[in-house]
Amino acid sequence: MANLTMLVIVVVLSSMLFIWAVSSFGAYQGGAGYWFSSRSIANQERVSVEGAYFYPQGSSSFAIVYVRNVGTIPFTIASVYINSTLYSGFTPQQINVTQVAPIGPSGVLCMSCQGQSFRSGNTQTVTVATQRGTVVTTTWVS
Amino acid sequence: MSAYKRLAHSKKGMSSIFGGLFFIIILLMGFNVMVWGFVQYDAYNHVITSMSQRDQQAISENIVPVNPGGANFNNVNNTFDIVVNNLGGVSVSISRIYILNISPTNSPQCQLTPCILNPAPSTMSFTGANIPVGVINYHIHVQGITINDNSGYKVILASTRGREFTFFYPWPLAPTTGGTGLFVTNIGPLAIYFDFKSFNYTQGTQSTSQSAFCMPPGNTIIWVKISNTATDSDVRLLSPTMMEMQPYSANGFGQFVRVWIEDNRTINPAVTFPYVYAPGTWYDLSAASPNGPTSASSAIVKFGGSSQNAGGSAGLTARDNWITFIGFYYLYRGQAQGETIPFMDFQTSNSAPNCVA
Repeated sequence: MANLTMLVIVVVLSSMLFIWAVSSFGAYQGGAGYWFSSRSIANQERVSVEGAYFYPQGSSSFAIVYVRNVGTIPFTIASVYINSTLYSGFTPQQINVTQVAPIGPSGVLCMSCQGQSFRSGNTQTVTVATQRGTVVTTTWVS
Repeated sequence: MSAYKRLAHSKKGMSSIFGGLFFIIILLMGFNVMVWGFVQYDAYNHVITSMSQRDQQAISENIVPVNPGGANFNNVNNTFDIVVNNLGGVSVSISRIYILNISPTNSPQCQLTPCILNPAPSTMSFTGANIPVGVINYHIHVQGITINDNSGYKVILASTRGREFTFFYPWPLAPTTGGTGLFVTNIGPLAIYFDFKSFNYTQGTQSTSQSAFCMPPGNTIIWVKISNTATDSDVRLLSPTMMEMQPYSANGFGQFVRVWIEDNRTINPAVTFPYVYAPGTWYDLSAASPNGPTSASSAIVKFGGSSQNAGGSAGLTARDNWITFIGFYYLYRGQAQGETIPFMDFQTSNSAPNCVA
């Protein structure tokens, strides 16, 4: 009887331990796996802001920003900041490997629409962020 | 009873066996997680390493445009070449060229927004995009546009690895170096120094030369430091090398003071030696090294001869400012050539060495 009791106790405790181990290992593998895979993919992104050109047109001012994908996977530009101000209404734009594209609707960013002023010779900071979290900040002279 | 039956009917130690099995299973699961972690970490490191290598290659790119930036302009066919050196550690592929007109003078093209050149074929394009490592004077052929219209252009070469290399056309002039005290005139292979220490004189029986920009009137030997900057040949000064000085206050011609070069042993008007164009006595300036003129390619030339191959001194007896020409006539690469250094000015004054008034 004592042997049987001990056997039941051992089986119950071992089962609990097994369940705990499976859930713990699973949780670890899930979290770490996601981290490894997401960081591995994000690390393959390389964003190159090839050029940024600023110009006035009438009372408005515009910017053309050329972004090239020099990484090994496609990326999607999620947001653009001009002089630390988020360009509102920016539609995510995918750029494939080796491709270059002017970003923004119709390839032009309206600076004056975002409350940004243009003056020749001023420093303009352009920040481009991808959906995977890669952020590239460049500085240009308008 | 056989051993098997005894084991089957035995109830002792069963809990230990079950517990041990569970323990081993959990242990194996732990090892499995560790191995999985190693595999994941290895895969992650592989990505990091390969992308780091990619970044290093991008950093190793070093394209240096060559002065004047553009060459072989053909305004009929609308073509020209961009000349570059690849001084980096990897070959470079140019993916796109941006040309922006930042100083429109004769052409409004490429103003505001840049002209974009893609690899051929397209209206504005370029060929020769792949620049081998270590190449010098490599020509990237551009078609569909020229930039030699006297406007100021900013040209950006974008590489496939995401680097940008910029130059301006026309090539900006180098800033003057007057602030460093270096005054030098470069014409042909010769560099003639006119700084405060290199343009000197002696009068009377002086054995130490002094700066000649301000000197008392009198018979004078003038000392001029020159260097051969050419690396392909030495330069030998010929006997007609001379100076010609005219007082600013003189009216009409005929007021010149002319002197010819003298031997290097000349010290002052009292100790002069005529110039003899012969080995051992001629001014023979050795070719410069790749790093610039050496001591053997520099010399201090004495002027004072009353005629070619004669001794004497310059009769700067008037008090005045002197407009000065120096005519260097020399043998370079076996050919007789000459050059004139114009518009040097110095003053003879009774208050020398103080000519500040």
